[in-house]
Amino acid sequence: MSLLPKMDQDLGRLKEEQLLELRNTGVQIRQWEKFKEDYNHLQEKLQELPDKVSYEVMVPLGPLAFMPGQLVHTNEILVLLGENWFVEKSAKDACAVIDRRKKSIADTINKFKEQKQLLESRLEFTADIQKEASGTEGIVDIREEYDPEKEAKWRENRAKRKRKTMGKVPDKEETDFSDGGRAEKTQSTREKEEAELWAHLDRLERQEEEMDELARTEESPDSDEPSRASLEEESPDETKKKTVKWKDQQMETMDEDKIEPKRNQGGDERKDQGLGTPDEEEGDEEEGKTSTIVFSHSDVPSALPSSPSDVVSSPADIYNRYQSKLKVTTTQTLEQPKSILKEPSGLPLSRDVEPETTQDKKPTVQPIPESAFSGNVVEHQSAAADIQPKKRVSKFKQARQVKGER
Amino acid sequence: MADAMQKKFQDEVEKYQLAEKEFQKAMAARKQLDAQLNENTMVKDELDLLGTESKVFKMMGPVLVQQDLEEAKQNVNKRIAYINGELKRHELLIKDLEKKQEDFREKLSRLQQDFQKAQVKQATVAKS
Repeated sequence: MSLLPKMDQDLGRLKEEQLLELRNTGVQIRQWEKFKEDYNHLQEKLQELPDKVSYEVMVPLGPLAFMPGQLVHTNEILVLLGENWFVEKSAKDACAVIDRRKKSIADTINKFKEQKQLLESRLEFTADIQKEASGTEGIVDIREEYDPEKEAKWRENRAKRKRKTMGKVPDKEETDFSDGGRAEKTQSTREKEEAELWAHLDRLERQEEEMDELARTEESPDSDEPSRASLEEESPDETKKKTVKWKDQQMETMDEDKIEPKRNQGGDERKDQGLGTPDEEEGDEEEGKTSTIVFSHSDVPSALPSSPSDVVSSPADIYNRYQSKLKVTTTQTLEQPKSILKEPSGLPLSRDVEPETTQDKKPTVQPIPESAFSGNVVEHQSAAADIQPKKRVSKFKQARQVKGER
Repeated sequence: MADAMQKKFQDEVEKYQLAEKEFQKAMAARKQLDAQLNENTMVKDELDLLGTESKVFKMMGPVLVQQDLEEAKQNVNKRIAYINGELKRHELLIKDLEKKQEDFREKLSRLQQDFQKAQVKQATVAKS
């Protein structure tokens, strides 16, 4: 590749600089290490200096002469603090000063060593890049040349090919355009054709969107668009299928098998809410193509007072069963040890609740095409809420009253 | 035409080099100030550790002059403040110079491009 020699050159240059920096750092480190050594020697000397009151020494007089003399005041040391400031200290104090200086030197040396490490890792990195670039290690750079003209041509061809497969348009330019074989066409005609093609593309896109919508509203097995709003957890053959389907779909397919078992179950399953019983579909027939979601409760099965079955299909069943049981026991025994556990919707309450529930549960369907929520979700708790306005009596008292009544 | 351009180019290069020198000077001064600041901080620390009885001397030329500890401390503090001020001034100067350098570099690169274009044109004109 033509780029490679230049990159090599650049990398070489980079390596040079990095090596230089590395060497500099090494030099610095050596210098500071020397300082440290010097300080160590000095400290040794200072420690033995006050051993004697005076020493016999040869005193240098200038660079070439010495003279025998004495070293006195062996404990008085003038320490240079920096910036031409001196302090007189004893040998011991001076040693302390030296210790502190040695500490700061050690810090500096550490910093330099860190720098050295960083530089080394950088150098390694560039060496790696160089190796990769040269391709000797089996790692090759994947390079794709970028030529704007070729890209543009390729993109146009691709667009045309796409349109061909989508719209099956008798394309005049179906011929092979791999490498600029259209010198005949002038610039202006090409532009005109391009504009036409873009318009065509837009039309096809719109068509596709419409097809999507249609597919969503129809349940056509032919449509390959996955945009239907149906969650199918079990195989379609099973009768007890949980699906959420648009009302329009139901009208068209009229799968009453699917709906029937739903009615027998409780009205509490959320997935039910898109479905309605055939009774409730009356209002929706005007809706036509636009699909709306109308929520309404299906019939609450008459599992309440009329026929307490053994099948527990809703919480209400449990209470009823328990209630009936309890009725029996209290008539039989005098002193039934009352449980200290709170009953969720205690005995006295359930009796009041009974006559009211049958009234509330009339399902009402209001065709409101504009809003998604038809607004008629009735919950069991409304029964409990009705109790509130009554005078609140404690449950114990109530129980006693009930007992008294009996 | 090309000659005029070349001359312009040369001028700009010279100006750039001058700016570069100034920049280097400012950098060196800043480094020195930094070192001085460090030194003075060390002196301050040592003086703080001293008890009042120690004798402090200042070297003025070949002479060691004794100083009062408190006085010495104050002097050092003042010096530190002075150095800080100088440092800040130098930093601003450096930033300024750097910006100027950037401008110069841009100008130079633009001139270079123009120059090259002119050269190419000339070559084509000469050919045809």
